[in-house]
Amino acid sequence: MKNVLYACSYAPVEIVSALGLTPTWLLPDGAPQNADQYIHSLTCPYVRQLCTILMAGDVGSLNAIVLPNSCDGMRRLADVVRANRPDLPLVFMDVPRKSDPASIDLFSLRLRQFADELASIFSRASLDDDALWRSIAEYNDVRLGMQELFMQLRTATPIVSGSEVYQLSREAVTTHIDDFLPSLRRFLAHMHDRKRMMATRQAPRLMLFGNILTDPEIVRVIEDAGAVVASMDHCFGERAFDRPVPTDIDDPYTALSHRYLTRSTCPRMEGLETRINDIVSLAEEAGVDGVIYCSVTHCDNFLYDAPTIIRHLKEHDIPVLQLTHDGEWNSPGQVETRIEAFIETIENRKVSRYA
Amino acid sequence: MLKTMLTEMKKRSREALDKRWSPRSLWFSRWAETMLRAFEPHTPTIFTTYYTFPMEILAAFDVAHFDFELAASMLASTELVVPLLGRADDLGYDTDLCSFHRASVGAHNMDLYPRSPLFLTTTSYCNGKWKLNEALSRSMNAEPYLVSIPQDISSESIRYVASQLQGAAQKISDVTDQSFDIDRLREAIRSSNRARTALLRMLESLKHRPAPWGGIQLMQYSIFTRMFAGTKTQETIHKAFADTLEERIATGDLRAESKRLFWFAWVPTYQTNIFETFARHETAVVHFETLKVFWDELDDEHPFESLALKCLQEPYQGPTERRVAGLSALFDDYSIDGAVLFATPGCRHSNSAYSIIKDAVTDLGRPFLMLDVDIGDPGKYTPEQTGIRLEGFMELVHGNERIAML
Repeated sequence: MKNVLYACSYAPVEIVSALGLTPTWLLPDGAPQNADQYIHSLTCPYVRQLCTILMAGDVGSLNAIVLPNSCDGMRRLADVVRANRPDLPLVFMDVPRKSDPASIDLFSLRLRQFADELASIFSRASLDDDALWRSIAEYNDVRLGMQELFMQLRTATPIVSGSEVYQLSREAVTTHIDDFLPSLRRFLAHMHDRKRMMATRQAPRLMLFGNILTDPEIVRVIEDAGAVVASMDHCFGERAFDRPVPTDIDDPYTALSHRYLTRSTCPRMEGLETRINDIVSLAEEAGVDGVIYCSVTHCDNFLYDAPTIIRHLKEHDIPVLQLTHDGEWNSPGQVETRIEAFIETIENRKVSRYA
Repeated sequence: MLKTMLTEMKKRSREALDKRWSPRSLWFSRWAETMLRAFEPHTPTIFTTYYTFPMEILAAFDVAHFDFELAASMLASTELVVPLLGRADDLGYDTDLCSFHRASVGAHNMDLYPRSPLFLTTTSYCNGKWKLNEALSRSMNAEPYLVSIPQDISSESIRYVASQLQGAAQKISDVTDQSFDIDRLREAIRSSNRARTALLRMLESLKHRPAPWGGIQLMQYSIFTRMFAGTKTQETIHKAFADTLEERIATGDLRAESKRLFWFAWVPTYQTNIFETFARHETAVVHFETLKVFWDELDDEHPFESLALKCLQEPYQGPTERRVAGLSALFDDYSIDGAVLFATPGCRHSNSAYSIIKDAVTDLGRPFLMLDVDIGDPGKYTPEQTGIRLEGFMELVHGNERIAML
């Protein structure tokens, strides 16, 4: 089966899959190599990692790439790929930054154009609505299943760990749905047989909030330090699986547009106020003792929001640790020490409150 | 601090005008007056972005307006910006972000900016601008209004942007209690077209060797006169400059030049040795990316649609190829010997795909320099390092070697 790689949660995987293609989120490991000759060094490391892969002579199983207009870096990466790799089928996907009815209308049109463009690249017949609805139903099942996992993390004594949920989230966006959905269903069925032993009420509960998290190291560090990841909202975390595509709308493209533009808001979208309220609600609902605000360097979408969101969390008496990284943890020891110190602070806080 | 700067600017430019009329003094005086109006207690003030929001719409209302980025650029022209940047650091704004934006955070936090009930901007140019627009409006309990500009030019995009611009006009009407008058907008459109014609005359004059104007002030002109779009002021100023440039050519009142440069993106607003170095080598920067007349003549019968098209035609919208489209003809028309891309670190939309600009320039056989210098933080400027790079670039330009300096 042909692979269509993508690089943001705004890529409409339902359309890709309905065309008989495998949508795979490109999540590279390691530092960007030789990207600076194409893209400025002060661009986010994820974009530069993508640039490294896309500019390489052999792109392996890549059959097409979808780059949504997530941010300035991503749209300029699309320019660089177009200019330097004309042999590489690239679909640049413009996504409005608003979620009002006019934006939903425009985006539904864009989604239809996207389906036509992809069908043309792979010489497929035009996508029929029934196939698209079937694909939508499957991805809605994935979202519901993933939401169950995230809800489970939020409970006082979860029966899954953050590491497991991170791994499943990663598989959800990198594995063909025909393989992933049955495996998710099996996991959910067996999950309830487990004893509630993953954590106790006393363990500090943390929320991990951030953007692209290709390296799971931070989740391991938190759990090794004796804390619980009670909420995980990053690019392919909670917000990527939030809200199913509505099935009571006649046109599947309008339904998709509605879901993508009104889902839990990503900082690339307008709506700082909504984002603040969502994060605080999520933190309170998950009963977290602290938040780790984790971002890659040079990510304007996250770095501009950070001061306002962090201040707001602190006003709600929720401690915050802000971490920025280069796509990989260059100084894992340092990060480990900072996280351990943060957890210790939270524990002391809990003790003094109890006292 | 800002108000004092503007007051002083207004006083001096008026004195200069009284002594001897010049388009420069007229421009400075109107610039100061316009921005000072935003500080008047009973004037409704709208925050906006002069260089991306179609100011013709604001010209159809009796409102003051204010652009936090351009205000920051003024503050950054003095050392006074340093404590403002420090305040932004204290508030948690990463030093990696645009220094104009960080200065604005500091200035707003220290109460140096006026207040407004409405913050209008667009998604053109960078993400940072509209992100900060939201954050600042929130801290003023004001309403943000964002015009989302698609990357393509199509009938759907025009309709989409036009409807948002109509929404913006409605918002202005709501917050100011002024009714929107379509005839006033039509007149603003006609005025904008007349100003455009005068600007084209200016551009024609800049083709002359030696050029009748150039350098950092011409770049500032290209950005700071956009605040007047749709007003008689813009018409008057562009026309006065067009006349003056033609007169300079006619009288031969021109500076000697041996080489000519084209400049991509912006300029640092504090004191640097960049343009002095060029002048020492008799090298003039005669044309700027921001000076281009990229938009078609506006249609007063369809004001919102034609303003929407203007927004969509912005060279920074769409692919980077747009920024280099027609470069060969431009280099020939303006006798360009080399090009500089000013790459301030926080400006990712402009810098990220620098290689496309570099390739376009070097393919035309002209030397290219990417100048990594901060736009508004004098603390990050190293004159020695920059000087060495500029001297190297000058050698290439004067030797006309096809080499890019990165």
